[in-house]
Amino acid sequence: MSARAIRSETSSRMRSLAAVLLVLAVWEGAARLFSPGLNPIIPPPTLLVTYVADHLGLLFVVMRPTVIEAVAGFAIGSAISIVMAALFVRFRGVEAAMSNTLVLIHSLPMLAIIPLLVIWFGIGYTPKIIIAALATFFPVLNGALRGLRSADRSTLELMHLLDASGLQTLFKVRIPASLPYIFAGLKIAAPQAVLGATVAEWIGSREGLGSQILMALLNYDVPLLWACMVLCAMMAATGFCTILAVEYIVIGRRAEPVKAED
Amino acid sequence: MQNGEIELVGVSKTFPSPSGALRAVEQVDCSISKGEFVALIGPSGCGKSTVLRMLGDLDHPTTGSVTIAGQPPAEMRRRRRIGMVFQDANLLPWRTVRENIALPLEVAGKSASGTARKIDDLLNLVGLADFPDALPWQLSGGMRQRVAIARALVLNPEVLLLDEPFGALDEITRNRLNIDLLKIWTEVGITAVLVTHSLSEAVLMSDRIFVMSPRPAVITATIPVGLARPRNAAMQRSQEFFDIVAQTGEALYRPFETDDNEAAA
Repeated sequence: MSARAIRSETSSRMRSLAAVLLVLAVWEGAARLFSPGLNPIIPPPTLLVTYVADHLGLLFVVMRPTVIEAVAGFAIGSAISIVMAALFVRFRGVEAAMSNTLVLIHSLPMLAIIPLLVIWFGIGYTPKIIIAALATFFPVLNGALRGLRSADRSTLELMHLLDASGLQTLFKVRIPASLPYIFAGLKIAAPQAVLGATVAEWIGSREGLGSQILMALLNYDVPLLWACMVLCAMMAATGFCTILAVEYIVIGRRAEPVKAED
Repeated sequence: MQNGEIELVGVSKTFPSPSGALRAVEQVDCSISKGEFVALIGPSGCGKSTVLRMLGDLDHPTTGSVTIAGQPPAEMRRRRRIGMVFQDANLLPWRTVRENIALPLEVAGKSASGTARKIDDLLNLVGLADFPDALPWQLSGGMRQRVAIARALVLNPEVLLLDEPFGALDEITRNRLNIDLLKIWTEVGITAVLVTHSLSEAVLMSDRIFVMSPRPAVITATIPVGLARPRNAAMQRSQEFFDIVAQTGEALYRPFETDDNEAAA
């Protein structure tokens, strides 16, 4: 990369940071100017920061179950969907048999399933993990299916010519070729898992970020609502960035740099 | 006629299509000797690639028989005696040059330690000794095809199938690669079958040229190429070369010219 390209990248990062700071400054000014009350609907950012700092212990306790549910659901959902995609690609009949059922499950609104899951599994972690897994399942399945089918025809013919076994073709060609697609799915799924876990906690739950949001709403505790929202966003962003980092470790070094027109 | 390395006897291939059966190849007979370099030339879509694919067990004749060293292609494929270079280099983009060349060895279950020398030799042979750790996207189109040639040769096959390997390259690069490929062919001593639609390429490379007609493909002429070996780029400017190109061209274009005359009449 040329020095000029590095400079332009740095300056674009500086610009985006400046834009965020500017928005925060305008927000701070407006909030202090127009609603100087103690519990404003839109609290200034500094108030949020002090609030989070003061309630760090509480927020950590509140966040813990949500993190556990989101991570567990994400892991289970992505594992099932990748294995299922491999089965679909290997056995066409399985996909034909299951695709309609999957579309049906996918079209069920999450909010409608949660009460049922609570009745079935109680108010523990299970229903939340199932919702997080469901939220993860479809983007990852979609990515994995497209990825496993992305190998060139001529590459597959080469493997045939070499008398490669189905497993060799899977591990040497199909799976490596599918990784960028699977990571694309995982990057969409990670914030979805956090969202799924949080929403699932709205119904039938005594702990977690979702339940805290509901209580903050009933108590009209607007700063707490904001703090929960910020935490929720941070968890989603952390999930996304973790996948991004893993992707870089696994394939980044070998990937073709993205072209300008992409 | 059972004396050649590669024997095609009465080979026809029909593909099912929405508008009835599509006759791609019809009654092709040919015999290719061990160590010979032959070219199949014909208009695009004529079925010459189908013939090549049948040799590699990627397609199967509807009628007739194909044998390589007396064996059906499926058997030769199972023994991994066939190397093939495709139109597109189809390298695995996440593998380095060295790892791409090693792919057939891995599939065949050969240990990495015992094969490092083999890969080094091939890297030298195809002129990529300086780029063992490059990734495919860092290479030019011609270099990628060099990797594909090395990969096709790594298991020491008996037959090398070349499906328009340099068709997508510019003429100058293509010429260089062709001359290098001839050197490799001489060194390795392998039976080579090249599918091409370039007259000069066919003449430069081969001992014999099989000229094929538009679909359904039949062999309309077999042209022996008497140019001395080893061949070099300068031969392409000799009178002898031009004469053979003209002779091949006449056989290649005859069916079209008849059509034109009929249309004019």
